[in-house]
Parts: sequence; structure tokens; C-alpha cells
Amino acid sequence: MTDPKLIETDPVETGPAPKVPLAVTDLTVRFGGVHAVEAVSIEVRPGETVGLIGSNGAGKTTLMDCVSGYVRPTSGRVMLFDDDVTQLPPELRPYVGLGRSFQDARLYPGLTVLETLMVALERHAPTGLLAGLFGLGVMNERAKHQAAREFVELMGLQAFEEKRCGELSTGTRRIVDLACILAQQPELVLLDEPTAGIAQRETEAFGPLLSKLKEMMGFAVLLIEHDMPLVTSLSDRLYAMESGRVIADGRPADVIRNERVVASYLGTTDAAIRRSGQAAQPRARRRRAD
Amino acid sequence: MDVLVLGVIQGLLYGALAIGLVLVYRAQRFVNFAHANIGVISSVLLGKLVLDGHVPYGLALPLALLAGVAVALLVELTVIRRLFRSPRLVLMVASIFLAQFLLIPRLIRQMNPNQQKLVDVGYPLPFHPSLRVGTLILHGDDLLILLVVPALVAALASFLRFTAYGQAIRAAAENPDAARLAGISVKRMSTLVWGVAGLLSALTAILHAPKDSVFLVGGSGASLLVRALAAGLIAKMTNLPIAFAAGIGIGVVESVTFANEPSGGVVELVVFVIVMAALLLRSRELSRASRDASAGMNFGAEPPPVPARAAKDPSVRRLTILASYGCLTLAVVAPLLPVAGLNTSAKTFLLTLVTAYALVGLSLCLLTGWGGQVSLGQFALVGVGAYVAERLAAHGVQFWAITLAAGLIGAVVAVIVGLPAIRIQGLFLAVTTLAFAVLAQGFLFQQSAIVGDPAGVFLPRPSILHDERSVYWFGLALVVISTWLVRNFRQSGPGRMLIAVRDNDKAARSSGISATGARLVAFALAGFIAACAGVVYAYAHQRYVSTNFAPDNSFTMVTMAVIGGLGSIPGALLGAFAVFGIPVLVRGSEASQLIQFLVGGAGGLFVLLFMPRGIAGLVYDVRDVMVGQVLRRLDRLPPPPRIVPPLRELWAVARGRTAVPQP
Repeated sequence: MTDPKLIETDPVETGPAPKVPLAVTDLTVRFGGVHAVEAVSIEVRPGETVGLIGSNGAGKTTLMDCVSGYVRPTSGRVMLFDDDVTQLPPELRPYVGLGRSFQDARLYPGLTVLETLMVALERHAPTGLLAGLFGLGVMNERAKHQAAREFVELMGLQAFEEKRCGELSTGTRRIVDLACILAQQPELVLLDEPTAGIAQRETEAFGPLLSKLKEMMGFAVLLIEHDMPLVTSLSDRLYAMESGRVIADGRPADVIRNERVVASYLGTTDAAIRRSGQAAQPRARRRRAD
Repeated sequence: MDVLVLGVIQGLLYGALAIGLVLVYRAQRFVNFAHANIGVISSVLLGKLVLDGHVPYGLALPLALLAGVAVALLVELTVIRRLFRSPRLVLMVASIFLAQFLLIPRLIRQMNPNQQKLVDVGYPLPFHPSLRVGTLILHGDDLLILLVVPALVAALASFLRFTAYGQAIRAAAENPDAARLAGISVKRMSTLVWGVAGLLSALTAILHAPKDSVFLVGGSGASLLVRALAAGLIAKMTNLPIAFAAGIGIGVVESVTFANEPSGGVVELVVFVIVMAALLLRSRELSRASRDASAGMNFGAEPPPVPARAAKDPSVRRLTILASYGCLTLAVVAPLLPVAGLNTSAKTFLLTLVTAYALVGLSLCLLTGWGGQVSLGQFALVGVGAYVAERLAAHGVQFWAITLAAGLIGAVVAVIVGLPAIRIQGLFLAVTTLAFAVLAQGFLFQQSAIVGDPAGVFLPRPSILHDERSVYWFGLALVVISTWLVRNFRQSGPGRMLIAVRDNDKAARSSGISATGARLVAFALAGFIAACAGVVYAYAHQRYVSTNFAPDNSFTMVTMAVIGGLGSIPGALLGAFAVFGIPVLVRGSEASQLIQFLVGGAGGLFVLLFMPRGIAGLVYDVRDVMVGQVLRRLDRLPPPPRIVPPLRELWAVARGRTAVPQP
């Protein structure tokens, strides 16, 4: 069911013309009679950070679910690194170079942080079933353990490495989630509301952290985010969605001034747009309903 | 025509049971495995009152029905309310224990009506007419069902549709939060639903009692439950009229099948196919309905790991080695000890069975504890292993080859039973495994082509396993090997992937892990180990019959696993030891009574309500205190210098290995 050419593709060694990380063409998703996504085309170019904004129910997460394979589109195409992956199941898409975070950042409540990272590393150094059963993959396991420790150090999670994910706060889990994505070494990262449910201060720290990681690893990003200052400062381009359609795209500064975007999503005042621009004063923990 | 009428009568009972299942499912989103058994006490009580107490039927019936409602309310208040906010999996397991506990009349002979009178006079009925329909003579019991069940269902339907209580029940089931905001007490509605379900169950049991002795003496009613579940599944566990109609339909299909093929339990095969088909065809709706329920399949018995720096401490290491090797040595020399008669062959035989149960415990630790898949058919897999051993031993195959072959066949069977797990998650898989357990006993183990003689064949022991003691050591060796394998599994990639899939299959899949693969691996391994337990079981008994592998035993295995602590390897071993081993140590005659009590659901319920981490939880609490002391001591010492290779090098290494593997 999988095109062998697609598997052998090594996204790291790109030729003179870099492949396009993500190209979605004419994508439509219908659940029964509901048009969740309607004829959407978006593109993420190499090294780019693209923001996706829109009110709840605009189809952002459905679109992301299509890109990562959990939702089969009714029509349209999803291309990852110039390969058509529309029919590829989600567990094979990481092999093309895709990494993804989830809105809830639930991770694996029963596994420790180190084990969670080792699960993410499994793809690069898999331990076979028989090797695992008979304890033959020791070297492999040790290498994964060591690598997981490196990611723990990188993200400053030393204090939590032996804690279960279920015991962590939302903010810490988001950092672990990010570490997992890095451990997969993707070429394209999908982030679904990475700052939902964490404190304002941590939200502000997230921007520089993501920029630094991008610089280190050179991946492209597709980002769903409600925090306007964050998404406008991080993104090279923005897509605004409403009722399953893209209503505006382009440079962030232009999109957030677009009349339809202002009317449908941002509201008529500047307050929402500037909100955390003036975050000098400390804010209480902010939670989102979804 | 006759066949159809009989089928409809039988089907009416299935339909009535299915309605009770659906009612509770709609209110609380879990499959109530105890439903059929709630009425057992009522049916026994009615028989006792009328036959032994000479109470008139008209007075005894309301009393018996009241008893049914009382039992249901008691269950609701003591168990269901306490677990109101628990994962649905825990509620379902609780209902499995309840089902066993409610069979208490089986244990206490005094509760039952006089068996002789039951045989002579028959189960009491309000009237004794008989009606001739063509060549068929319908007796009082048949007419009672034909009259009462439709009337009852009609009454229930109008109650739900036209009364304020009925509307409140439906509202609370559809959306508990909204109903609460509208001023409906969800808890009171739950009580009401259970009361109605208790009434239904009591009536069904009383109507069913004259036709079958299932409720009174023998079996568990598992086969009855499977049919009612099949009807409920066809109705997506939500639609009451469809559930009722499906129940009647299943009764007719069963009756027609039986008329054409009365031998060999082909009926069970047909029912199994219906359950599988219903699950697969309805998988989308059912999965959606139980999506919120499938989260939190973790029993939480697995201990937090010992901090690495404490684990490296010599005192902790010494303790670990002392504890594990100490237990192992004790287990090895146990059949030589002149304590409690352990060195007699009768006791050694019982100890051998404990090793078989420990193996089943390990398989459930892996499948249910780490995989989050409840299996109610694990003992049927033991039966598969035992029958493979029997067939191969007759051909003079070496015992180690038999073990391997039985394990492989067990793995294949387990994977087939687990196949619906690809499409259905969590709770409903328990239904397929239960259906398999019923199928195995009623059909598979009755086929002489498969199992030789269903009545059991003598199994010759090889010379190396000539006495009870050597068979025990063989079982113990299998336990040690399996423990080692299962531990390795948990500590390596495949085990972590299984837990990742259990906890969050979406996130696991986006890390490139095949959820289907991980689940089927769990089924295969658990099936392998359970079938190996079957080989031990076969060598210990040397002769056995299919009733040894009744669905009841699978229920008992789940109880044992929960008592030990699901998800922990020591817990799996401790559970087998506590439930089956300790009774061996006490005096012989009372041992079986004690076992009956412990695993009869009471022990399981107690553990679930008051110490959900099981016996293993206690052990880990003690361990954590000791580890805490070690950590405090270590904190006073200066930390050792830490050597961290530069990150950039790691990246270079990691990048170099990034050859994308074939999936």
C-alpha cells in the first residue's frame, strides 16, 4: 500500500531544489452533511513557520488531522515533501519526516519522561520483538536511553526524568511533548495550540524556545495558535480560516488587518491583538475552554 | 412452526435481558456483566419460599421481585456509587466480580430449595395449563413468558416515554452534565435505573428458572449473557426496541440452528459469529460511544520506578536480589518441605496448579495491565494449550516440543480472538473474549476431531516428569522463564510501545508506532503464555474434561489478577499465590471453601473498592519507604561528577543513523 520510493526518500539529503514540506490542494472533509474543511489549499515552504488562525470550529484541527492522517479527506490531496501521502496511514507519516503535537499534550500517563522519549526514539533505533523478549537489544536500548537523557538535558527536564507523565503539570508536559517531537527529528512539525493551558509567562518563553530549536534543526512549522502576538511574531506567513475555508493568507501584518479576519475572529478592537504585547504586568494563569 | 414458537419464547428472555443491559449502559456507559445474575437470588428465593416454606405463589412472587430490586439497589449504593468517577473499565471489572459474588447461593446450600422437591414437583408456577399449538404443547412456563415479557416491556416503554421520571432517566443518560444543570439528580436517576434493571433481572430469572437449572445450580449463565449482549450490540447498546427485537431474533436463529444441527454445540458457533459480526458492523458507533470510556485503561498498579541513583546503591541491590532469589529458593524447595503436608503428592499437585495460575496471571499482566485489553477468555486459551498437549502427547512428542507447539497455537488463537481489537477499543473487546470462552467450552472442546475425546483422554507423562514433584518443577521453570521474558518485554521498546498505545494511541501513531501491531503482539504473547499454562495443567491432571475450562474460570483469573495488582509482574505472581497458594498451606478440607470465597468475587470487589493497586501496591509502599531512606542517605553524600558528552556529537551520531527504516 506504500510506495517504496516514498519510504526510501531521505528528507535530510535534499538536492539543489529543496522539497516542499507540505502542500495541501483542494482539500475537502465532510462529516455526514457538515463541511468541516472546504476546498482548502495551503503550503509550507522549506524552513518556513506558517501560522493557522481562526475561531473554534473553523476547521484548523481537522485540517491538521488530515495532514497527519487521522482524518481521510473526502477529496483533495496532501503532499509531504513532494510525495502524495493522502492514503498513507498516520503511523507511516513520521517516516516521511512529519512530527506532530496534540492540543491536549496528554502524552503517555503511565510512562516516565525518559520512557516517553525512548518511545519517540524507537523509530530511529527500533528494538525487535524477539530481541526485546530475550534481552538481546541491550546496546540498542542503552543508546536510546543515553539519547533520551540528552534530550532531557537539552530541555532542562532533569528534575522530571523519572516522573510519570501523568504526574506532570500541563506546562511541563508541553515541554516533554516538544522534546519528543525533536527526538523524532522531523522535517516538518505540526503544533496544535502549543501554549494552550499554560501560564502567560511560559507562553512568552515559548516563542524564543521554538525559534532556537528551529535554528538548530532547520525544520518547517505549521502552527495553530490563539495567542496573536506569539503567532504573528513567530510566523513567516499566516492562513486565517473560517467555517472550513481559508479567508485570508499572506504576511502576518496584512492578515490581521484583513477586514474579514477582523470581523470573524479578532473582533473589532485592537485589544486582542496587542494583548500580550503589554505583558509587563504579571498575569494570572490563563486557561482555554477547548 | 414449532421451532419458531420455541425460538420466540427463548428470544423473549434474551430480549428482556438485553433491555436491562442497554438501560444500564445508557445510564453509565459500561457493560454490566452482573445483570443476569442480579436476579439469581430472587429466583432461588421464590423456589425456596414456595417449595420449602409453602408460601402461596401470589405472595412469594412480589417478595422475590422486591428482593431483586433490593439487591440491585444495594449494588448501586455500595459499589456503583463508589466508582461513579472511576474509569469505565474499573466499573466493568467490578460488575464481573459482582456477577461472581451474586452466585453466592451456589456456595451456601441452605439458600437453595430442596433439590429433591425441585426434581419431583418442578420449579413453582402460578398455573399449570397446557396449550396445544399444532403438534407443539406449550406448558405453563412457556405461556408465562409469552404473557409476561411483552406486557413488561410495554410497561417499561411507556414508563420511559410518558412519565417525568422516564424523561429524566433519558436526559441523564444522554448528557449527564446538562441534566444536572437542569436540576435532575444524576445519582438518583442511576438508582432508579438500577432498581428497574433489578426488577427486570429478577423477573427474567424467575421466568427462566423452570426452563433451565442454570440460575439455580450449575453454570454461570455466561452463555445466556453472551446472547443478551449480542442483542444489545446489534442495538448499538442504545436502542431499546431494537435490542428487544434482536433478542427475539437470536432466539429464533438459535432454535432453528438447534433443530437442524442438535449436536456439538453448533449453536454456540452461530452465536459467536453473531457477536463478532455485530461488533465489527457496529464498531464505528460503539467506538465513538466508548471513546471517553477507553481513556484511563490503566489500573495504576504498576509502581513508579526506583530512582536510578537509588537503584545503583548496593543496599537496594542486595535487597532486590535477596527478595527475588529468596522467593525463588522457597518455591523450588516447597514440595520437599514437611510443612503443612507440602511434600505429599496431593499438595504438590495443588502447588503445580498454582504455577499454572501464575502463568495465566503473567499473561493478564501483559494483556490487561499493559495492553489495556480485558480478556474474559483467558482460561479458554489454557484449555487450548491443554488439548494441544493431549493430542501431541498421544503421538509421543517430547514435552518441550509440546510446550512450544501449544504456545504457538495459543498465540495464533489469541490473535484471532483479538482481531476485532484493530477496530474496537477497550470495553467491547471483553465481549468478544467472553463469547470466545463460551464458544470454546460449548463448541470447540466438544469437537472430537479437534480435541480427541471431549470426555478427556489419558495423558501419558514422559519419564522426566514421572511424579508430581517433577511436574511442579516443570511448571515453576516455565514461570521463571516467562517472568524473565515478560520483564524483558516491559523494559524494552516493544513493551513501552504497548503502554504508549494503551495510554494514547493517537500520539503513539504519530510517533510512527503501529497501534494494531502493538495490540496484536500483546494478544500473541499473552496467548502463548496462557497456552503454556495449559500444558502444565494437562500434565498435572493427566486427564480432564472440557468443563475444566468453563467461562467461570476465566472470570476467576481476572479476579486473581486484580487482587495481585494488574500491571505489575510481582503482582501477577503474588495474586496467584494469595488466591490459590495460601489455601494450599492451610488445612486441606477448608482450603477449597476459602478459595471459593476469595475468588468468588468478594475478594475482588474488596480489592477494587479499597485497595485498587492490589497486594503489589502494599509491597511497593514498603519498598518506597526503604528507597526513601536510601535517598536521604545518598543526599548527604556529595554527588558524583557527571560526564555528559557534548550535544553536538550526539546530533552528529543521530543524524548519521537517520536511514529511514522500512515499515
